[in-house]
Amino acid sequence: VSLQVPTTTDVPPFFAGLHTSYIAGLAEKLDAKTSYEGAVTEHLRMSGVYWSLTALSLLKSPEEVDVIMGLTAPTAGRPISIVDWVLQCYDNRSGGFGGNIGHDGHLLYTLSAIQILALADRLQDERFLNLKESVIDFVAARQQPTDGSFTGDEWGEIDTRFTYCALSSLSILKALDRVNVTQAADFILSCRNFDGGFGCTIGAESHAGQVFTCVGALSIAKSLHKLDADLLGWWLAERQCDSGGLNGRPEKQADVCYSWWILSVLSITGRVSWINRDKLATFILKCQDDEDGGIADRPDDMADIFHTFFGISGLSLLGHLHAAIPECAPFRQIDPVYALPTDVVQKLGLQGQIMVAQEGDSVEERLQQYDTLTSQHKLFQ
Amino acid sequence: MKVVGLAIVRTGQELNEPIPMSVATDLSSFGFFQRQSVKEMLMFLTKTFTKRTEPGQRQSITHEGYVVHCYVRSDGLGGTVTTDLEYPARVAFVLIGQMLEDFVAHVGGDDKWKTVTQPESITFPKLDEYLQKYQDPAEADKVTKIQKDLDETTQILHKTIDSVLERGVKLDNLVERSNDLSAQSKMFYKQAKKTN
Amino acid sequence: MNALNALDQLWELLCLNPKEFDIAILRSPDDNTKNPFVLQEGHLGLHAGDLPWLARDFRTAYRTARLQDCDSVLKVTSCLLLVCPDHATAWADRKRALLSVQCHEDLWTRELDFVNLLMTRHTKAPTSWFHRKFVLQQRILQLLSALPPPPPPNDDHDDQENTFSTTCTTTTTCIYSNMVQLARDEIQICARIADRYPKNYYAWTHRSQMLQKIHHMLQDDSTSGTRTLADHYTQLLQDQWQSTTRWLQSHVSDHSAAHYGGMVLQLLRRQQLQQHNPQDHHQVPDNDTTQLVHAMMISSITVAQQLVERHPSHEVLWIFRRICNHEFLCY
Ligand SMILES: CC(C)=CCC/C(C)=C/CC/C(C)=C/CC/C(C)=C/COP(=O)(O)OP(=O)(O)O
Repeated sequence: VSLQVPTTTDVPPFFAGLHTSYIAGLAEKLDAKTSYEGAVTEHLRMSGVYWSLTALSLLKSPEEVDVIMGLTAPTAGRPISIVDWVLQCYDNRSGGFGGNIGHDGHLLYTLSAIQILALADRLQDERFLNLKESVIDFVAARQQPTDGSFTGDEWGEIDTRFTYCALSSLSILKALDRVNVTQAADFILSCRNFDGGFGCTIGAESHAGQVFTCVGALSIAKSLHKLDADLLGWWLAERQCDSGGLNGRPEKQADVCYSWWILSVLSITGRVSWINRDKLATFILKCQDDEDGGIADRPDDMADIFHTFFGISGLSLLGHLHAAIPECAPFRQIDPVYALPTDVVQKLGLQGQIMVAQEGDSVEERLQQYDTLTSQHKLFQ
Repeated sequence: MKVVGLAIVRTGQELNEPIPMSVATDLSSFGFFQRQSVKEMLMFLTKTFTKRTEPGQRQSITHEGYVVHCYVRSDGLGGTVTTDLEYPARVAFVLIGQMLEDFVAHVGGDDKWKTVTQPESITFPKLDEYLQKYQDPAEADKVTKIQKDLDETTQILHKTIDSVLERGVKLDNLVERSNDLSAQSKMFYKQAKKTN
Repeated sequence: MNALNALDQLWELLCLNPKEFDIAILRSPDDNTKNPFVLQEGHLGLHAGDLPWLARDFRTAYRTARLQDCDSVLKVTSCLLLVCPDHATAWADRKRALLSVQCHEDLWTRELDFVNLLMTRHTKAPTSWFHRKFVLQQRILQLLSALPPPPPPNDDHDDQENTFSTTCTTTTTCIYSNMVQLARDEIQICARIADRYPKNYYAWTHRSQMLQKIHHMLQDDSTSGTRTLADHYTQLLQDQWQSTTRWLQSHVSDHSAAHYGGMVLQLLRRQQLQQHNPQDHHQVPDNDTTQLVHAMMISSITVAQQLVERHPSHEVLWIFRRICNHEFLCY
């Protein structure tokens, strides 16, 4: 007989102000000569900037975000605007964007760059329009004619992450017709495992992060009807641990980032109610740094921007942000398919597909621009 | 499933701090340069926890992916088995019972160990044997079946560090004040979370 | 110590072929020997406190080296990647450099040694695993390039042809067993990594890709060596099944291992099917394989059952049971 000694800690509030200053101060911290984090994440700075901007976008109005981050114009201490910097990260040789200035183009950072430009409303900037065709060529050339999969760069590594990056990038650039979308979706489906989940490639273990990329790609490819949403939903719901947090694979530790990877898929497939939402929100709130702001992977760990983004986005998908910071109006939400603020997705008219679990279920407001599919229930009918 | 270390400890009111009399560790799963610090930490936790274990009590305390299983007999002889999270607690406590019993027989006489004052001063080769053998709890299960000495009703308290320490005491402060931890180990403890 | 010094010093230590690399607290605060590295009993240590400036300075040195020759690129990226193992552009530069230097016999083997060293410490950088696969691919191509050319069209000299095909077979056999050995080495390295860093997604995926790779070679290949390869492969799968079930007994919450076990069963099933495919003319149905697959399918159910009985509270073992049942039903 085991006795669990309960620990009683109250649910902390959401520290919107602290997170704002955490994100606002991040660039300076990373650029400091003595910063280890800054030095070892230099090669993925593009994604870091995208996480920062999107997280802040859920807390502040677009105008405030622009000023705080120096998005379209230089701000105090930053010699060039983020948009200018993004354009400098364009890699002439490959036609894609690199993770920082001077790096090789890669799909991961090409998507982040396009997302940043979308957030800044600069997709029509003339300087970008000059590059746009080459960027599209770069992305389209990543598709493998044999099986429809995508490589991240010229070196040939295949991963379902790259399929998502390619389809999302092309959809934002309105160039999905440049690849074989059906074949891309079929490749994703060939990565499905018997548990209903997906791995990074054919035959690889199911992983909640990869599940997001696969379902996101299927949504953009409007191929969700090929998904066994009940089986997958079941597997995802079982990722909830006693702590309320979600893990990415069976019997691994819960981690805030899966709040995003899993909730987004449950949102897309209309099954968010399959997990205990309050317990998850409590877990995320406990991972906040109550002194310096930011969110960590687990309670008491060091906060970082990656988990700050996924924690805030998770709370947004749970509808918790609205309750926490009602004064923040007009309130922006996160879109589960494109991982951008809903208003940006709507303004760009981005396409995709979502599901409702049962006929008659209402569609969340943030998803109303998507095609809706009613999934047939197999398990619970 | 891994057993990282075993320790046999003398505890008691008359002592300032528990004295680990015999210790065995298997640190092969840690980086070469970290082994010394891990070992020091293990000893430190053994002392900290056995000091806070009531005689007759069995408690399993989780710390950063490892569990320290503690048991102290009513006469003050105690033992700890440090394992990973997967290792079955029941088997760990059977092992503690076994090693304490054999230890008493080894030093000869029921109370001989009560005179030990030097840490790690008793050579007890069986401890290393146990460490190897119990790496596989299935092997140990055979023992469990015969022994039945940890029956279904025995209580094991599963605790976190916070619930073991007195109110207001933080492990960080204890680490800072400890004389057992080298400066290197203290830094290791502090940095463990930063650069993993 | 300046960057150039640190770089040269680290490079010198790397040339001594250390067997393990670690980043740790290497000295106490009152010790003021300003050396960020140490080599002790073959273990290369890097002082954690020096990481920030080393990372920055290696990066600067890298920018310069990119404009220079292949040797500089290899030297500087070796140092930089030990500190930033997921630096995709540095790995790409390395590939370019390796492909452009004169290919000598142990070029790729030595590159694998470097990746092995790096992976004694960093095991979760996706691009380092991808680089590993790339190097292996090159190594396999290197091995295969030694395969004898396809036999010349029939002529009358019978005995001459006989000698030809015997040497062919020996070389071919040798090459294919080397290849399976390469896979075995990889699998062993993955097991070591998974032991030190449990449930490592990349290590287990790499391990299963090694098996799948040979499976595909067997499907594609039409040379005379296929027979040998198939035999070695069946044996390899059997060993993998055994070691994985043993592993699960002591790693009861390792979902990666459970998934891998399922993959082994699946490949065995396919292996048997393939050998019975009448369209596949160079494959003879093989009774041994059939029996082996059959026995393993039966045993898998029992093994899985025993595991859940012993540790009923582990989700992973129940999943493993479902995987085995699933494979059995497909069989
Ligand atoms: C636009 C957005 C939000 C994303 C872009 C698309 C990308 C890059 C998605 C990444 C998805 C992801 C997190 C995949 C998982 C990769 C993986 C196999 C990680 C292995 O993780 P471990 O470190 O073992 O973590 P766990 O221990 O939690 O399993």
